[in-house]
Amino acid sequence: MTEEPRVVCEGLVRHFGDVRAVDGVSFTVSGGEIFGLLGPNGAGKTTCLRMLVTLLHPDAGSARICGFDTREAPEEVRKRVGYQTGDTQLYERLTPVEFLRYFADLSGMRRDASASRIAELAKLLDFESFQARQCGTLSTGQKQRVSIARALLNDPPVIILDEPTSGLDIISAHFIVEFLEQKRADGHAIVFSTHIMGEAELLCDRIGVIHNGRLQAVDSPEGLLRQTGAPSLTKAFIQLVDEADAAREQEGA
Amino acid sequence: MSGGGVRGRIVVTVFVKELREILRDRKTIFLLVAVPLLFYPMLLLLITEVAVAQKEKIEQEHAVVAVVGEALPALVSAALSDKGTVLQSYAEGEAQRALEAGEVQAVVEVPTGLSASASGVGTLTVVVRYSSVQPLSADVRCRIQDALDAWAGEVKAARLSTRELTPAFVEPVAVKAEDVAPPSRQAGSLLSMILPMLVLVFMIAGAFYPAVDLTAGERERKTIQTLLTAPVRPLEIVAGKYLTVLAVALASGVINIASMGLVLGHSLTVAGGEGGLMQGVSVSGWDIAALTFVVVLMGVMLSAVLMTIAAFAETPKNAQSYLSLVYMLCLTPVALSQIPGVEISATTAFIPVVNLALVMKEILVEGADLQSLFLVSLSTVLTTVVALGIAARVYTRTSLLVQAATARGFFSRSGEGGGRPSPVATPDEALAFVAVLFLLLYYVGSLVQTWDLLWGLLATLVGLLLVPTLGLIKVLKLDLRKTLHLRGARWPMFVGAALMGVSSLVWVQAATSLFHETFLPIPQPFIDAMESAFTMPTDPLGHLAAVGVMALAPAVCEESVFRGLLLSSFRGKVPGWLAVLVTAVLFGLFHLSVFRFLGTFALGLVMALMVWRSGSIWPSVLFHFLNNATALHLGDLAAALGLSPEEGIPMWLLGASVAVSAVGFGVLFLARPVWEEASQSEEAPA
Repeated sequence: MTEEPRVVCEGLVRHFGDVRAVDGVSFTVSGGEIFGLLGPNGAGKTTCLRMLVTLLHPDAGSARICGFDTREAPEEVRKRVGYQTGDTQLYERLTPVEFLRYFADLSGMRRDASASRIAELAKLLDFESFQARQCGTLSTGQKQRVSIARALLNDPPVIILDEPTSGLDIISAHFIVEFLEQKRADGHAIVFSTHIMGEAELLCDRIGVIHNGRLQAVDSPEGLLRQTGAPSLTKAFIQLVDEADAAREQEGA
Repeated sequence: MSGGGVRGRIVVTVFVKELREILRDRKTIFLLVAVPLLFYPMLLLLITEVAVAQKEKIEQEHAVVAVVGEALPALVSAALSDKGTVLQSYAEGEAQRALEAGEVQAVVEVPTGLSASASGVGTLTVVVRYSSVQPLSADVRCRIQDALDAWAGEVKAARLSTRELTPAFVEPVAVKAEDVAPPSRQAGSLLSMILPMLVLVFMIAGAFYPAVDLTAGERERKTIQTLLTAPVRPLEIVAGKYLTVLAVALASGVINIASMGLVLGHSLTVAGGEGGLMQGVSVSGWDIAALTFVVVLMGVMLSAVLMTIAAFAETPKNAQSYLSLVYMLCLTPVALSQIPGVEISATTAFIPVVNLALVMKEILVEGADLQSLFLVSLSTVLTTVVALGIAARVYTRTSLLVQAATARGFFSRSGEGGGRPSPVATPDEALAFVAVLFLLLYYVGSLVQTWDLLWGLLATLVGLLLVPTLGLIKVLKLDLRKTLHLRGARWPMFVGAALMGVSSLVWVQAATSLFHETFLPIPQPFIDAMESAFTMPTDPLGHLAAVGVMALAPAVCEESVFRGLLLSSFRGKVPGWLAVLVTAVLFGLFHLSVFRFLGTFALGLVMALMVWRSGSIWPSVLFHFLNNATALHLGDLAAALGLSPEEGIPMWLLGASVAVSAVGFGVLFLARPVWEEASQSEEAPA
């Protein structure tokens, strides 16, 4: 029996009132793979990822992380997922080191283990220079690095990032992109959402194009170009979104 | 996100982190420690010095008194001029003008023969004109009074001695009251009036900011999302945060009371310790321990309640509004508990806030009692556990994590059809409207009814309930039919409503009187007033008028407000049970009496349920009419059945009323409402 992919979601559905924010989304991600959720604003990317990390319950369908169901074993899931969003805020009056130690304590790491891990991450993500300042005084890019360090504290097998580069300058964004490539090489399964084409094209092994809560296509960047016959990923994306809108209008009529 | 126990390690981790963050906020430290420590000494210092200075200034100030008529007796004049008061003779009209112009501070009209009154027998009246709003004038009046009293004493003695009598002759009796309560308890009684209120105010003031910041604040800053992706359980987070709020609340209570105590103690020592508030307060060590314990309990409960309420809010701003309301709600029971005679008992020990205030009173006045302490602790722990359980559920409710997508539209009139105004009022409009009606009823209705009970009642019902309701419907351009539930109902509904209408009064009366006899006895004057209000005139025309005003008019007017406008506003917005409950509570409160609340609440439940189920107001109108009409004829019915009012309700009658009501209830709720059958055609555009 072959091992199940690290991330499995099957037919995820989530409503907000009358709005079907996520409407039957299924995909899998294996170790050493980067999966990108690409979609316009309001497509359902964030809702999808929140269901993967147990922040939201699906109305229908299921999701498993490393074999643990998000509804049945949320604590086990959270131990195995590092989740970070573009608008993740830090505790303003704690320093990065205190902030990270807090989360290490919450996830049950031993103090000596967490101290060396935090030092290691500070070097890796390059925040040693401001690790003793209160988070409220840091820039967006600096906060983002601390935030990613938090997601990686216990070296989780699955990393889920919601628009990790939003609001960052080019250098900071590039830093994060390089970092993700390195994590893929280490064998992590990575899911991230974005609406930046270049990033998706550069990083993703596979891309899921999501619109109106539905996955319109799942393929490698090259596969998407072949499938749509478009000259660039941007064109392919626009084409898929337009087709989806047309199909929806027909449905409604 | 549920399951598992609460791990102490995680709770402590959360507590330490939250406390560290709170303490790093200079604002908190300043408000918590610096303000109370500095404020009270400064305040007392300022007040004392200003008051003393002001008093001395006035007492030493020169004043001019206009004397009209004869001169004052020499003794009086001398006493007054000793105190810096100059006497000047004035003509009558001139004196009045001078007083109004401020040239003199008082006018004394001296009757003829005052100086010679030692030899007389009667009483002469000296008129002193002054102005109580001018401090100097008021003080001058006292100076005149003192001087005249001293002189009158001598005149009295002279009169008695010429007749060879002693002063005892004119004082046949002297009353001397002796308080057998020990001085410590007298002071304790005084202290018990203010201490619970102070503890409550300071603790809420302390807990307010952390309760808001750690719940709604964290939600607004979005750090809650980060926290919830850690492998921790909601109850662990809530417990850790709760300990933080509790710590700050206790610190605030202790620092404030200690600072006030220090200031008072210090000022009394400086003043020589004469007759102060704390004078004679000597509670035992056991009492102090008990009092401290109760203060901690107060913090335990208030912190839990405040945090739970704040957890419901989407934003800190909302949380602050909610908590301000809770603050006022908590002040009421504390004020109630200070009424003499309200004491801790098996019942009051379980009413939150009231029980703590009462047990404090008990400790200060009578000494600590283990039984009360036990009951109060039990009730406080229960309240706290329930509150924290709710907080854990609410705080991690995912709908609150993603606010924008799930705006519930409680305060918006836009319906589902893209901004089209709703055909019925929104709950906030309806509640605000009922609040206005409540005020009108309280201020205007009761006044109108004092002129003429029957016609005043009619004017109140039509003018203060029905007309404003129709006006609101017109102004908000609401759909009259939908707002007032003006749709037909099938005949079984009416049969059910009629059966319940004639029978409910008896069992409602039996249940409420049982409650009131046990817990809250109804005062006799209230019972008499109610009976006289429901006494029927004997002439046919008067009889008809009474039925019209007291049965038919309420059935129409009250229904239009409560089961019409108010109830319809809840449809589709809140669950049915909540809509029915809120309507019934407000209907009960609307009768403006704690003794009528229970009965009207019960009837309100029945009627709201009826309308919610049938979708039609008419069964409820019928029920209301029949119920009130039955109440009006209760005396006649009792006489016809050969019952005397002293015996109370016989069991067979109670049984019959329950049975008839149950049948009516069954008929009403088994019948399919019209709207279920015709929902298709009903919704089609007319």
